[in-house]
Amino acid sequence: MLKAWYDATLKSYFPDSDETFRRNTGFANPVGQAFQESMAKILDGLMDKAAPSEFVAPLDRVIRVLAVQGLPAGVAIRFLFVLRDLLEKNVDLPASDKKIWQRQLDALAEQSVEIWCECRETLAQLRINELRNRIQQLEACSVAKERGGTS
Amino acid sequence: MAKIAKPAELLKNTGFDSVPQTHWMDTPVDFRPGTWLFPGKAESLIAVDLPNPRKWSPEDADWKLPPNWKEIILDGMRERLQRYRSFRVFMDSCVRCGACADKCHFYLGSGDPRNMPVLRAELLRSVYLYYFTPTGKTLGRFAGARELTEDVIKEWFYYFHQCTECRRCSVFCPYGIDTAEITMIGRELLNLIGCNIDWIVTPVANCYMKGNHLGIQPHGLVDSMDFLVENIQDITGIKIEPTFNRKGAEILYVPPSGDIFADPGTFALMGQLMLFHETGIDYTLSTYASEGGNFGSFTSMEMAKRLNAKIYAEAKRLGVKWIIGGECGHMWRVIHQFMDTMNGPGDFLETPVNPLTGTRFEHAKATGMIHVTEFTADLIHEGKIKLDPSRNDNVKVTFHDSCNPSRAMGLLEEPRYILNKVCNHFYEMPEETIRENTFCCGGGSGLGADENMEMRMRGGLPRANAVRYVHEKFGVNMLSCVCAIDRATLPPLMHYWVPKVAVCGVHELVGNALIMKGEMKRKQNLRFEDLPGVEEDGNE
Amino acid sequence: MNAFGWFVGGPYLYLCAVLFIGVTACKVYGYATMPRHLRWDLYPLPHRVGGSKYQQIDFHKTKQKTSLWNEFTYMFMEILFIRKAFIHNPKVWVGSFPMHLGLYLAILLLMLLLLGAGVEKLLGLPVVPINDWFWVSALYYSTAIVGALAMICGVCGACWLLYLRLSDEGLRDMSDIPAYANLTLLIAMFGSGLAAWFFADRDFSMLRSQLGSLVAFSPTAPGHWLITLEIFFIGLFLAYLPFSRMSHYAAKYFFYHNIMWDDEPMKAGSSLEKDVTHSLGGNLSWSAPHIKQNQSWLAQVSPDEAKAAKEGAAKQ
Repeated sequence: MLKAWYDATLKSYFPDSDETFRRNTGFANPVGQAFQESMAKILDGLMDKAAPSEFVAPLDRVIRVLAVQGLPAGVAIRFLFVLRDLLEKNVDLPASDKKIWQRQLDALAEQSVEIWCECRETLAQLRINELRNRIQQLEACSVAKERGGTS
Repeated sequence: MAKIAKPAELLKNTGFDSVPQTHWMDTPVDFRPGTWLFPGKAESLIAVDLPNPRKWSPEDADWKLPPNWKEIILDGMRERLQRYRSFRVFMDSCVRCGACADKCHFYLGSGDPRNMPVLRAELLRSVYLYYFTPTGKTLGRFAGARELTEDVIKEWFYYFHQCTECRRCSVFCPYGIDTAEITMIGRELLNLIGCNIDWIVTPVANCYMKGNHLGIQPHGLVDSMDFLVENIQDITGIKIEPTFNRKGAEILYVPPSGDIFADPGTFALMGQLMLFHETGIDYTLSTYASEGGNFGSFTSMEMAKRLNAKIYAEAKRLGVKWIIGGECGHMWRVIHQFMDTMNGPGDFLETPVNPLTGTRFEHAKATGMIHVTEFTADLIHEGKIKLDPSRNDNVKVTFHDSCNPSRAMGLLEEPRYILNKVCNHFYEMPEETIRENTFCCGGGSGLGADENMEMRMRGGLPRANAVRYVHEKFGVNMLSCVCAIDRATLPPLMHYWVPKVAVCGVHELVGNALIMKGEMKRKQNLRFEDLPGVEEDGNE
Repeated sequence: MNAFGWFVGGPYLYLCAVLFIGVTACKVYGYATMPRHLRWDLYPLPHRVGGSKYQQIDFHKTKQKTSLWNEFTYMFMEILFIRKAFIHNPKVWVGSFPMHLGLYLAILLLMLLLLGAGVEKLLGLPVVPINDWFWVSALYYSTAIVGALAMICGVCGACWLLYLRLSDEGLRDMSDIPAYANLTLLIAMFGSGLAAWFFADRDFSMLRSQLGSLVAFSPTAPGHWLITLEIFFIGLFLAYLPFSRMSHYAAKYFFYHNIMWDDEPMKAGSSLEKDVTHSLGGNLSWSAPHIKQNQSWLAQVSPDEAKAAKEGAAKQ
């Protein structure tokens, strides 16, 4: 189940290089590592009906990677819907259990959007910080120039 | 349990099944904000006589290339094929074994196949095959050759500015094909028709006119230095008096200019100044050769030569005996590999001798220039300075091997030796991410601009991932390095991927641990943070 | 058939061999006579004993040992065993190593066949197993074993590489038509050789006599159509090799010795200095506004000029 989900996710986000990311999952392959470890945790959490807070760390790790890949937010959380399809089609379980998963997945999707937004905000903030630093440097230069000019 | 669906089946109707799959040669580049860099400003190009200065943007359809751009590029290529044996054999010999493919940090962070070193080289090689080989001329696309068009230029611009010239891929290539060289040549060719980026060209122009990348004028330098000196006095009670342009000094000290202005580089510079004061060496700085770094090497080799020339010119003018270079990255590529043939021989200098230990740095006989960590490691090794590593007990340190000092000069042990002596908690990152296998910070070779933030985050992911691991496993909270570009690009990278890890230069930790003669009881470290244990002392 | 066989086994093969040797020699000469390029050493360097000097803290006390022997053993390991691929790219090595081994064994086979042909022609001894001469039987058996191994290794290795390129998505991305064409040619060459050995020429006696006739400049038609086919592909391969990207056999020495490991420092009066001075005197021919036409490299970028320009800027 995990493998199918993982393969489908990689194929969707990195159609040209899913093979590379699947191949080796050490530190030499951070994207593969992040996806594999986090997705395993998410799936385990769903199976154990874990509390929503348990999902934050693994979701964060995946979304943080996706947030810098130039994808819209809607696309970035689609890997959760892939999981939903997978669960629906492949697991024989009472409808009540399936409903719980559905709800949990909805909650995960909400969390993911929040994380995605936070990531994008961080990126914007980093840009602003760098610009501000540069301006401060310029100011420092010009102050020095004035002082140098008068003394 | 039912049969598990295949990926293709799962992806049906999700919008993912319609991804167009075209050959890379047929896929034009999409200039998406956050992944490309602003083009060079016309006035900067004019300042250093670079061709085709104009106002333009990569997003425009018309790049305002000169009318004979094709001829210029092909002539430029021919010239370089005759001049660089390396370039020639690199173009002739790749067999596409794929060893390099998953070694590039940009490919690992983005999954864009044209970021595989083999395809990055192919961007140039396909044109080489078409115009310079009999098979490519006759067989065309069948031999992997293609015509030079404006789209190819756009592709070059995009992807040759997504390579940080870190040379990690060459370590894995069975022939040692050096993508950094291919990128350098690619950028040289682009420069011939005025396609360059502002984050490189403006520092080059600054450096050419004012001696350093930031364009700080002499009084500005002195002023900033005064500020650092005041800080040192506040922390240690000792007044340091660094000199500028002093003729007859024994040693010329050339730091990267980023360390004079931007945190956390300033802390590393303070550490070096304190060390020089404590050892009492006879050194001076130059307001002209005030930059070790060399962004010229990211435009063309002649520019690198022009900018590098000032170091020897100043050394000659001031009559120093030898030179110490600061904690910088690509500066050392230029000094270690290019300087003596570009502007040397530096035979007017003497072989560096550490005045305290008497150690002769024989290996630097040709250039007359040593790395500051060599100097410090030698001092510690000979027991010439007193250190209190417990002052760094608040940090758990790991070391990021900067690409150029590690792969272009083999400087692997010295920084580690120093770190082990100046702090008590030093942890290594996983083996495949350090030493000659080190991952780039994602912003080297002039790509550290803010507009490129998204791409930097992709490229820096492999490095950050390894830091995350030691952060979680050992509680590492300080990433040390010996490169000014690292100190500029790693903090945002850490902020995004591993928020609780700060960045420092190796000599910042040296400065903290250094016990100076006549210093007051230290309460704060170089960042004006309380030293570990100070609070308890105060309560007693 | 016989006339065709004679043509393939004779003039055609001569032509291909001449092309191979000629173009390779031109390439090597071209590489060797190029001017010095910028230093491009990539650490660790094998001829520096113990890697880079910076790997020992007190390296400056001991004289740096350099060893050309280390460099050659490293190169030997790399060329014979494809060492780097074994470490970093094992999947490819599984095919690459046998394929290269097949080529090396084929070279060995060629030498053994030449030796055998010489023995037959000059000493008049037939190279057969039952003989009072021990070394002649040894030659016979070693030829047969080396030859068979060469063909088998070559076919297996090249087939594996082709399979890998077709099946592995990662490799498929970076494979292009020449990559497939090269492998197909290798398979055809080793495959026809294998078939010729198995069906027609188990002890390589036909190939040996063919070679003997070639050396004596009195070519004959090969004894079997499979051998004609084999020779046809060998000729094609030889003629195509130096034009293809497989020409790395000619470039490998330069890759290592001149590019990756060259760390010669520039000292006054050294040959390096002479070369650099010579290069600086060369003209830059290409056109760009900042290039002053018909002036030397030195005049374009000399530090003195840079200084003058700086003073000019300061005055303004």
